[in-house]
Amino acid sequence: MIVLVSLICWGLALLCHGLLQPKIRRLLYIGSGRPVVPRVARLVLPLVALGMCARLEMPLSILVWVGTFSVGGLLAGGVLAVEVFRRGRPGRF
Amino acid sequence: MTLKSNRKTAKGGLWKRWLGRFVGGVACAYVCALGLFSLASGHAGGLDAILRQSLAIAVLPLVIVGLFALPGRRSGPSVFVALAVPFLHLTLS
Amino acid sequence: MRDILRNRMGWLHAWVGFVGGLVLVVAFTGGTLALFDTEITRWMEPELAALPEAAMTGEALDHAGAQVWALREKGQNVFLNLPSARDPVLRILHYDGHAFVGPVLDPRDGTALNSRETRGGQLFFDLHQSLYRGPVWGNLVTEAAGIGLIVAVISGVIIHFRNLVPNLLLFRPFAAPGRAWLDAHLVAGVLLLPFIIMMAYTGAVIHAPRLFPMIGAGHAARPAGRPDAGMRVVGPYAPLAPMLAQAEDIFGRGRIGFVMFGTGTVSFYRADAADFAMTRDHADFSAGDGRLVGVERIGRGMPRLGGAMRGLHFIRWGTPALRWLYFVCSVVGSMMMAAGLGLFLMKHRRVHGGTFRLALAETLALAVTLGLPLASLGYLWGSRLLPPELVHRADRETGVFFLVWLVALLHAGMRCLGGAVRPAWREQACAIAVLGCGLPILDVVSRAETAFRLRADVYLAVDACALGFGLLALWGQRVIVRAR
Repeated sequence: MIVLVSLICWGLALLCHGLLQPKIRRLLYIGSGRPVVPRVARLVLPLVALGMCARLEMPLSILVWVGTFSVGGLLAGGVLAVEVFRRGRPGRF
Repeated sequence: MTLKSNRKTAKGGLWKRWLGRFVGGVACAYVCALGLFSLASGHAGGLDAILRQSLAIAVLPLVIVGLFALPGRRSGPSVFVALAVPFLHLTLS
Repeated sequence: MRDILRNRMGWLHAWVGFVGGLVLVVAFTGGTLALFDTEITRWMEPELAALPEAAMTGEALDHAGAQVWALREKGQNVFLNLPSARDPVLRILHYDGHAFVGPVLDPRDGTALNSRETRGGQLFFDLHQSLYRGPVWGNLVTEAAGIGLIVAVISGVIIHFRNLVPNLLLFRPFAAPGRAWLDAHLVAGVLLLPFIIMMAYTGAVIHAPRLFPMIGAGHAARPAGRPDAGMRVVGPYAPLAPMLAQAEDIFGRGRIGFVMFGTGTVSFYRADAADFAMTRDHADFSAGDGRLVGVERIGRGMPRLGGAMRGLHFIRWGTPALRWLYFVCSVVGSMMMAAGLGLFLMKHRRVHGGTFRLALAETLALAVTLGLPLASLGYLWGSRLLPPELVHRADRETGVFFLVWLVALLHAGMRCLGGAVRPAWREQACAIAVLGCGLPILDVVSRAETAFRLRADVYLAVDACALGFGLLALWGQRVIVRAR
């Protein structure tokens, strides 16, 4: 359960990070702006994940936190890639 | 870090120079790691073997990349030999 | 090309990455499968599927102990592996130079179970750590490749430094092939950076004595050997069950992993799964009267560093969730390295297309990227298709693995030298799809008595993974066709 929560937190945080990047925003037809929610979420959610993982024993907690960063990032990257394709501008930036 | 481009330098020449630099760097890094072993075991009490190995393994790739990144081309691998001599001395002493 | 830092790092990353990558893809793929070596071994022993779950009895342990002593009196260097959550049977094991093999015993009474002879998942462990050429040269090559991986990672980070954070998730699979593969390589490489560095570093430290033989810290890998004449002792022997109870009082209940038999002593070793630091803490008993003669514990601090490195790398103490996390990261890491090999070939195809050197590079890259998974699936197929009572069965099974890999290499060589690189990749992907998607069917057919009891066990997990990789290969070969 902790692993799943940490994975979701990291996935969402990295998704927010991706949505803030100019190249990805251009691919997704998102106008230039500085939305507050993704900026806050990408800072807070990893800490929430860390708080959850801290309930596990050391060093399991650190390994789960770092491991879910990797897998969460891969999931977020996959979601963004699918979204780029869905919006019909594959390969252009 | 940028060096002046030499138009006369063919791509093959550059490739050979980098290969020489890499081989020299690896040899030097290995000798540096051995020197580190000697230093670590030499002082009072000496460090545990596994700690010495951990340090050497950490240092080895850093030195390889560091030496490869060093500017300068005329001196070539001879620089590495000069750098390695003090460590070799430490190892043998 | 100018002699600037970025180009220099690019050269270092490309060449160290490619040459080392050919070894590293094998080591990483082998390591990925070795994460579940015990489970794969159990899948390869379908006779054990019918065994009811039962705790080990004292009678079983004593019976097993008597069998071990009998074998040792005949000069065989065997030990006893106790049941665990991952492997609920007793095993009398010996090291055959590549894996720990031996008869399987019922944990209820210690009688031998009619299980087929196999190296199981330990083949992948051996492939991972020594390319099946241990304990010297193979270990040395993987050690050098591990250092090469760290070099490639550092140079890759230097090249990509400015875009490390902004392009963390930039993956455009529908862009031009070169761009898409580069994106995949970068995204996976950066996201897995902590995992890859940790695995490469801990792996290199574990085998450091191979690289620095002049530094005496001992090495875990030892060649198989027979016990010395002095080790042969003659009974009567004290029963093992009371000794196990005492050892469990010392190390904790269920924390004893295996029992070693020495000259007049019996040593109960703490299980690798018992703690993060993989130490060899043990309690020694007199073989004759069962009296406790000593306890050895690795102290806190520096002496535990080696155990901590092993614990981080082998993850035997980890929960199933952590092991699956490692598995996913390892699979993606292998793919990232394979993508790197592909990028190297794409780049050089423009200049060196049609040359023998490039065809050779294409052949080797294909043989390690797709040939190895194909051989691994062939190994699982061989395990079920070879007759259980075959003489030297474990060797034959291993032979099937290397035969399939050799066929894949020859196929890759013939097709790549003939200029048909893309069809070669497609054909091997198709072969993986057939073997992967067919494995669950083979499992059901060859394990008919127990296959229809659907439950979350090792059989379902291995079948599901094989099916998943089969479908992935099916999708991959369609992508190759479309990219034509």
